[in-house]
Amino acid sequence: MRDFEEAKRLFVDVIDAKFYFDSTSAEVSRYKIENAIKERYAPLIFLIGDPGVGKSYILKLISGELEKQKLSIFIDHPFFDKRDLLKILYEAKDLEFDKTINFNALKEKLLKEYEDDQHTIFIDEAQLLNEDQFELIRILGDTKIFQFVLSMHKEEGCVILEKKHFKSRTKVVVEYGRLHYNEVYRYIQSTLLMKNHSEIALMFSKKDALKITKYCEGNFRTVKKIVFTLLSLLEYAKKNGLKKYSDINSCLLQMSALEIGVIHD
Amino acid sequence: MTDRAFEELQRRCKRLKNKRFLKWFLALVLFAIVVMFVIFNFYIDKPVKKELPIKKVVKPAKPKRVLLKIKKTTQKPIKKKITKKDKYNTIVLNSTIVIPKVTIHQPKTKKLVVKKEIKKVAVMQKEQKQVVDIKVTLLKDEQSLIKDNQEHENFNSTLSLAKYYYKHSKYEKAIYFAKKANRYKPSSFKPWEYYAKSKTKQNKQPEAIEAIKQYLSYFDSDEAMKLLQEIGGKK
Repeated sequence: MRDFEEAKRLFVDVIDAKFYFDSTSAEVSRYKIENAIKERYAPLIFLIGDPGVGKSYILKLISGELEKQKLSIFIDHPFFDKRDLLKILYEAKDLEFDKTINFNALKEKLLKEYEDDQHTIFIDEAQLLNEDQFELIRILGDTKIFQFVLSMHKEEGCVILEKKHFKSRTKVVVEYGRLHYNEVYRYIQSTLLMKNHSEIALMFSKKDALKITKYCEGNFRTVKKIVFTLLSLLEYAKKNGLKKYSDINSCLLQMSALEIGVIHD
Repeated sequence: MTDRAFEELQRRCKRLKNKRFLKWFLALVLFAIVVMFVIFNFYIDKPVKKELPIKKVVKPAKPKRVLLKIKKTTQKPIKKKITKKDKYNTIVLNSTIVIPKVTIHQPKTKKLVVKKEIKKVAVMQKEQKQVVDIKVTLLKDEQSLIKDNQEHENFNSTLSLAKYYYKHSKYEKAIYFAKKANRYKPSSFKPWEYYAKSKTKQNKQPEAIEAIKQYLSYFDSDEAMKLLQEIGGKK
């Protein structure tokens, strides 16, 4: 029985740490970041890649695993003031954040509290941070007490890395690549088979995966979106008895791509 | 997914397909045009309608005027006109061969001498007629070679012209056609031979030697070596 309604929910764009898709890019990035954290030879680790390739997911995954061993802080939204970062760090250690004390005194106190151990701070969407915030990250990184893993969009990230704060600093830059069509095929198959949608999984051929990859340019998020839309269209066709659209074909793929806006008529 | 949204998507998909088809069709047409252009310009041998550098057929030289003057005209001037057109209408040959009027002045005193002179003039006129006949025949040969070359411009026809002009001491033309023949078959020594020989005849032995040496730098040829020694010896 083809239950498209249920199957399409598997492709909703949410970060689910339980389901990790081991694409080559993800595995390479994960290995590099974990190694850099373990060795601690660089206080700054940059994860760069196009929007939607899966940076946030991998960052959350590593942070979750690291949490079991030591203090790991994951900041999924950019902070607007440099005091906000100190506040997050105070709260992570269950320390009282006194707003009345000046910034430098707060910083000194924080360093004293953290100096016994090493900590990793993950910041997602770091391209949104301003100059002052980057400067604070650099200063905290130089103390060797904190290690930062910053995830940024490739385009902006390359510009930020060229800035004086980071250009001469010891850093690790990991680039997260795009998906190959074989990986897209494996992702769709494994996601559907995991929830016993084998009949729907069999509808997807490698050729379809190639077309999807072409439309999505190997972007993980867009792949999810297009498969979600495709399954919605198949569901509609099934409900309305449209035989022409009862199986995956180039027309349906094109319609899905049009719907999500990756191609235009 | 609503009915309206689905129908809208179907319509957009159709429009996109049409656009893509049109793009491919135009690309294909453009490609076909380019291919045709390339084929017509680079692969099809067009018949060359070049006007060969041939001057009008030479008029026979005026015979030397006989010293003696006679009141009577022995023979009427013969006028012969040759006009020939090939099928391309590219070469038109007009020649007028005039056998000049010979007037013999007979001195009143020496009758015997006059008779002898008349005989001499008659012989000369006969010889002159023969020369004209030969020239007309040669003209025909030349014409057929040119025509052949125009119709089938290739190594053999061009070399034949070079050979013809060399044999008839028209060394400039022989050189021209030898060079042209060389373009068709650079490895053949024949065009080089006619070139070198013509240059030698023009007393330009260094140029002839240089040409043969150049040929020998590319190809081994006993024939070329022999000719080189020959021209070198003459020099």
